[in-house]
Amino acid sequence: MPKRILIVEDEANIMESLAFLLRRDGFEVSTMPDGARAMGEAERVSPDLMILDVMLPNLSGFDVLRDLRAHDGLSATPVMMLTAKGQTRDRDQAEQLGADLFMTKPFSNAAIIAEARRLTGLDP
Amino acid sequence: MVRSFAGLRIRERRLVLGLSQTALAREAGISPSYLNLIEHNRRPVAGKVLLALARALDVPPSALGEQATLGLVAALREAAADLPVHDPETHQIEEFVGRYPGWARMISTLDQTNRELRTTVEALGDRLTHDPVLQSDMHEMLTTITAIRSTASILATVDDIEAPQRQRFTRAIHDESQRLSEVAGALTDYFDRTASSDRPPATPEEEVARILETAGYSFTQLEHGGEVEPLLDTLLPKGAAARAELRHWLTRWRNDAEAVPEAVLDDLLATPLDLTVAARKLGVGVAQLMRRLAFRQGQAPLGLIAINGAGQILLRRPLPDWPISRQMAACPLLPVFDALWQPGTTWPVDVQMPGGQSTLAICTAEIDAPHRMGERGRPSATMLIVPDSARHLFAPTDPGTVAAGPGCRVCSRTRCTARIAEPVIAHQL
Repeated sequence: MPKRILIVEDEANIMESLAFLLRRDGFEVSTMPDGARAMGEAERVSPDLMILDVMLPNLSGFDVLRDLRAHDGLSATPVMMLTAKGQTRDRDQAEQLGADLFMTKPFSNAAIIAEARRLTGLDP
Repeated sequence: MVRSFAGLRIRERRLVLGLSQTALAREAGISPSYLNLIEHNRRPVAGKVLLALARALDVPPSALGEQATLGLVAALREAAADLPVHDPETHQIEEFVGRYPGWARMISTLDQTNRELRTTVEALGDRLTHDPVLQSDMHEMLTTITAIRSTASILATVDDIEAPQRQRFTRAIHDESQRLSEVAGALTDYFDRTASSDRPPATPEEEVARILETAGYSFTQLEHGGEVEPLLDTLLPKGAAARAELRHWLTRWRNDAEAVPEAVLDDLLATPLDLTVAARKLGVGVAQLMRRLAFRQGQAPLGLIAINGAGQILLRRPLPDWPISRQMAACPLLPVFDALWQPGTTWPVDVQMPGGQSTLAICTAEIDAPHRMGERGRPSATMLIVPDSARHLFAPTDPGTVAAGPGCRVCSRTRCTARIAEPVIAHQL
């Protein structure tokens, strides 16, 4: 049974390259470009990892993370946050809200794959 | 409570004029003993008596009155609180203001200027870190770069991509590159807009620089022996110092134009130019010919820096890609400084900036002829900056390359042995 990853990212080209890479590595990938609809998609697919952009339309990545951590069935989902802002304040906020990892754009493909494998328990 | 020091000022002024108390009292229509009490601040002075004393002492009444004193004392208190490290004698501020109102006004003005400059610097620093336009553009750039990097990396490392997917990735790189250049263009426009300010010039040098820039560094009115003074009147420098500096600048421009008339210059530029050969043929210095080339209207403007033996910038004509700051120390790696050690030699060199762009510079140095026996000639060096658009004006050369920068404070070059100050903007910006 492949591990499921939900990518919540509004930049279509970033989302497509991430989805391609992760599918190629054996993951089952769902995508969602809108923050407000992210939780609905998470409930539908019950992902093993959520890759979550900070700047999203309608609802920010921080708000999605807050909702996720308050959700009865999904609160333990590992979350990798993506942001183009490497500011300490954002990083602190992500940690406080319970993000497992904070990746700053531009990131390397290899790092994303390695972290996805680690966070889904495929690699130690 | 501010004590009255009008008496002290009256006494100081009287002594400067060499008047006795009796003479001043008679002139002002009061008794010498009353004047004595006023001078020792034992009687207040106001109204008719103040007017009469001011008239007799040939100063405006405000120079003796209390209002100015109150304002100045408050201003100096503020200045003292601002820089307590110097431990000024705050208990003597009133006496200082009373005795030396001119110096007090000067300190107050300097303090005010200092505050304004500090506010400007803080605002600029703040803008760099919190400006929403900059933040949004930086975010956009990083996002675009991420998409390009990620997609390009897939195309470079994965062989078995199906044709439609490969086409989509290629298209994505094209679209994101386009977006990146648009953001970069928007950022450049933004900086251009914020750089041009409506702020009045802060110094005479800045005022002259703005006048020269507006005129394009060229004054055709002086081309055929035109007069400097009438031109000065039309250019309207506001202060005496700016007027004197501009007069000096225009006089040199006229002398250069006389030595190398426009028609001769046009002839020279008809074929690729060797500065040394041309200067010898005309019987002028290479530096003079360089100034003439830089300070003229031309299709392809040239930049110029001239320095004295102490390395101070005497003349500057910046170019859009070669800003030359008046205030900031220039990069010591610029070849114009090397030129100082080789007077009489003219040589070309490609100057490579931290961003990788390279510009041709032609350097020369000379020693002024001394005016009298025993006096040493003073060295100066001049560097002509030749952007690519103007390279065809000069005879082809095979220049060496030197690495330099825009000055330590704004230079991003790391591990530079010539660095003497840290950059004001962090490298990651």
